[in-house]
Amino acid sequence: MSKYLKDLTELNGASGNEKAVRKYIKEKIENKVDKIIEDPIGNLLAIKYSGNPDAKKLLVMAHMDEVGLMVTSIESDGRLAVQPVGGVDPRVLLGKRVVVGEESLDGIIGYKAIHLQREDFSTPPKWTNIRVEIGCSKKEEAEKKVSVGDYIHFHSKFEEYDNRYIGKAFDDRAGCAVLMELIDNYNEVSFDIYYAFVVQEEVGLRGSGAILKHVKPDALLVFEGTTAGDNPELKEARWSTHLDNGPALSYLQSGYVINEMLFNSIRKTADMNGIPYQMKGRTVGGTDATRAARTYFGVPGAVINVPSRYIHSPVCVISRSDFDNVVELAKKIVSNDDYINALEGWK
Amino acid sequence: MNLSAKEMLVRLSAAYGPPGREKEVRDLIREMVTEYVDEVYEDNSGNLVAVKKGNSKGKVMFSTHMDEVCMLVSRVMDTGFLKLEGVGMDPKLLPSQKVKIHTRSGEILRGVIGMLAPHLQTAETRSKISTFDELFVDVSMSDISKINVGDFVTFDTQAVEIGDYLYGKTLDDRASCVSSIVALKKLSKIKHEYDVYAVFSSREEIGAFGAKTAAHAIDPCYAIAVDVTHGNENVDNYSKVEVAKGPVVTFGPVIPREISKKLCDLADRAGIKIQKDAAPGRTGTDADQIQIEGIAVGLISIPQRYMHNPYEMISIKDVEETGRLMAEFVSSLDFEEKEEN
Amino acid sequence: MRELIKKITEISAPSGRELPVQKYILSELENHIDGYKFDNVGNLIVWKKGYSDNPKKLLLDGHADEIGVVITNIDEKGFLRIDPVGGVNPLMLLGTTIRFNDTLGIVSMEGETAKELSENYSKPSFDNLFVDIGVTSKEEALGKVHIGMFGTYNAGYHDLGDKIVSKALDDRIACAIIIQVFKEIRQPENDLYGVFSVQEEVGLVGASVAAFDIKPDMAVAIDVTAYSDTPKTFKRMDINLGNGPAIKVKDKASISDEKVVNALIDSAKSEGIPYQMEVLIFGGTNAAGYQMTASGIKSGTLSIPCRYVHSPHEMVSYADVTNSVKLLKNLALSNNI
Repeated sequence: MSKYLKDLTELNGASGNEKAVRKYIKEKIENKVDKIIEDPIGNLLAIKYSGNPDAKKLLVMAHMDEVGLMVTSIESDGRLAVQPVGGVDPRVLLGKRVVVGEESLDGIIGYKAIHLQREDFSTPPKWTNIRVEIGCSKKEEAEKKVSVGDYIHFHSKFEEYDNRYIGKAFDDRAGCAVLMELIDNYNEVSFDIYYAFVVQEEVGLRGSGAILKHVKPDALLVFEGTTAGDNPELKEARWSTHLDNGPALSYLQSGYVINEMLFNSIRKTADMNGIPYQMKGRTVGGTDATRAARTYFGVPGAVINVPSRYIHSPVCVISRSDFDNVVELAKKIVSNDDYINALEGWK
Repeated sequence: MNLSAKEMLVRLSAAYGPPGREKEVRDLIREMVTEYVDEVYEDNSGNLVAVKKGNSKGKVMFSTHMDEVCMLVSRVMDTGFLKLEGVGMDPKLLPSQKVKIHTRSGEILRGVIGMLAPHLQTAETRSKISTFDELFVDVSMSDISKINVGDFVTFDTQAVEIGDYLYGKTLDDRASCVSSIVALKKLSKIKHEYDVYAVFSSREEIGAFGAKTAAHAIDPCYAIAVDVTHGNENVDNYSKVEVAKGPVVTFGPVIPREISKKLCDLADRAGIKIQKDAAPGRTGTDADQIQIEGIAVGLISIPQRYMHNPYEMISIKDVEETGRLMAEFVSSLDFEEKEEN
Repeated sequence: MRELIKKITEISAPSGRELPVQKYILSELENHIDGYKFDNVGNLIVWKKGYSDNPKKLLLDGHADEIGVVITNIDEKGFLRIDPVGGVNPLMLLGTTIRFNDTLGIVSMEGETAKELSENYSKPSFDNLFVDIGVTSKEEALGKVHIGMFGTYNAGYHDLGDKIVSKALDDRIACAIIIQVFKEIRQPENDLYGVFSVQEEVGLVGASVAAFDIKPDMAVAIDVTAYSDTPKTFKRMDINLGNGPAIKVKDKASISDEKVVNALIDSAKSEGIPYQMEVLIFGGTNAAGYQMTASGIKSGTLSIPCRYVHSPHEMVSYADVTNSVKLLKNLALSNNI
């Protein structure tokens, strides 16, 4: 069981509002690493030096932000109009509790009672008719409590079962938890390790490029939470991942083909250590590997995913064994030279 | 030159400067800005950069874009008409417009975008809009042999003041360029710690190439992007912003919250009336690319109605107040604690 | 040059798997370059140093990758599911063959009823098509292919005289042109760089980083463009096979730098090389990646008019190709960089 998963997923940190998550991570890791950098746009970069001045550099990465909502207008009836921060399907919002603004006020997203619906029964909700209720009946009242531009987060408690975790934001607090486990279990190696907890992946991979101002890595390894799709709505041939089948490896994603040599190195390490894994079944969706490949001098990268059902909603489900296996695989990869040297033969 | 904000707006509005072809605007801004700054240069991306030295405590960059939405000739028809491709252009604005065609030799030719007279229309044709595939430019009044595919085409309109407002083309984003010059003028009269790099950026309308490369080259501690935003329109789900009610400060992921808050505080203390808006993702301005370069960037917007029209609407006072807020931001950095990384 | 074009287009090298064609390119360039390297993301960069004391740097880019598909799923009976690599129109896959190394695949369509089959044919997508490699079980399939394996069109090269037809003219024709320029220029005054870039088709990846250290004075992307010279075709554009290389002013990704456009026009005019001006109403090239690099690089595109881009049978005019070589040689040897 991860020490950090519960805390991390319960913290509120939508894209642009990661400060609570950053603060938590920084406090937990600062005495375990050689250096910490917080950059002007909110990224957190921690470094463990190998002590070798000619050392290669491995960059491991996860993003701190989750999807959420933003107050875009305070209506005359005291309710809030909102827009998504990141990819949120409006249909997952109905009948949910939310947390509003800097003061973490309670809010509810209700919907017109079924009794009162007619033809609109069959029309899906739109952003223009989704409203957040904060117990105010007039605009002036609401303006005293919230402002346009305030963030709204899903209200979702972490729950643990035999082989399942339920919560929000496994995309990508699961990745952050993996990085933290790597820091806790650091073993001396010949290369420097840079642990990047980046911001704003969900609104356009906006944070990760700036990390490359501080390091020119030889290779990148991204830990993400990814889609599953293994439910009755989708035929098996088009599932993205299946829970319990292990860490999911990407080979192609939106905007980038995963580096073949790094991909093979991951498989080799998993095979050698008897760690199960699966291939992702879909190639949609981007990660920070896409950003890193096209920034400055370019960085070759690979992605290891924790399969997560219902991502980008208040209630996500992951497999405990999948998460543990991702951690295990991560530890094995960073404790030897195979990954960092995988690109040698190519040049 | 000592021009008023209005004079600068009118002259800049008339200037020719599509994305990647901003020379005329660069030259004009250079003339307007030279007396207030220490150095003016054109960088490798076609940006014009005006530098006002402070005490080199750090660098702060302004970004306001010079380029205008426009069209290009995509085909010259033997029948004496041209076909067009648009850049940020709504084809519905084009029927019955006079346009200028900027030829390779530098000569400007005239054209008219026409449409069938009402008498010749049918119920069916009346219910449709003409897209770029249907539209054509009549150049029978000009020598078509001088026109080539790739020639740029712009509106042939002159800015006009009506009441408290100015209506003209390309106030997106030359109004912000004027705010930048207003800010530099104010800063020329005071001492400030930070060096100011006022970037008049190129090619914002096709992807903010200028702002991104300028941010990389200059690597400032802070940046302020200024663009226009929609005013006086009911945008579903968004609080309304109005022309002449002051500059708009944006809150959202692209802008560090401390900077948005600071701009509001500074406005309050300086007696500048502002409005606020929210951008839950990309802002659609130079700020987006500046942020991706890892720079703490603020966004101030000038409210504008009829964006990308031949007659965009702004308030001259909003332009001046924006300039004032930009100058206040620079001054406030005198007291900023600089962190070493 | 025809033999070069034939060999270079036949190689199967989709985005992310460019090494085979880059190796071939290196073999062709042996003795014609001063050096080469593979950069961090796999771009092949070659160069020929200029003899000037103060050489300018000209960079020519042709992307080495072609569009393709990747295997995402293998079912119990050995049928495959695929996803596109780059802009693949599923319509183009039906009725042609694809190959995964030596394994041939036939693309077909789901349909539990005749009506459903017909409907699916009218709106094909990667969700409702599958690939048949002629096996009967998952095991048998795994003996030949695997999930994550990349494939391309299985289409050959045809020489029709002035017209050349092949898969992957986008953008191997540019690679061939750059090779030819390097072969024909003995001693340039300025430094000449050739970039055979990666992953253009999935998002201009390679070109966004290739020039970061080189910082050339000018970068010219060479790529295919569309056409407007077939029956009832794009009435708003004016691009014709055989009218010469096209000097691009604009596409959806960028507007070419004025300096580059003028230099290209000059390089054509000075030798009476035919050319046409181009405005493309869709698409983008690597020029956008170079324009965004570091503090900015003056970039533009020289286009080869091409019919049926992204189909298994793309078509160019050989005259346009040889004229492009002449034009670029002139540019490299000029003062316009």
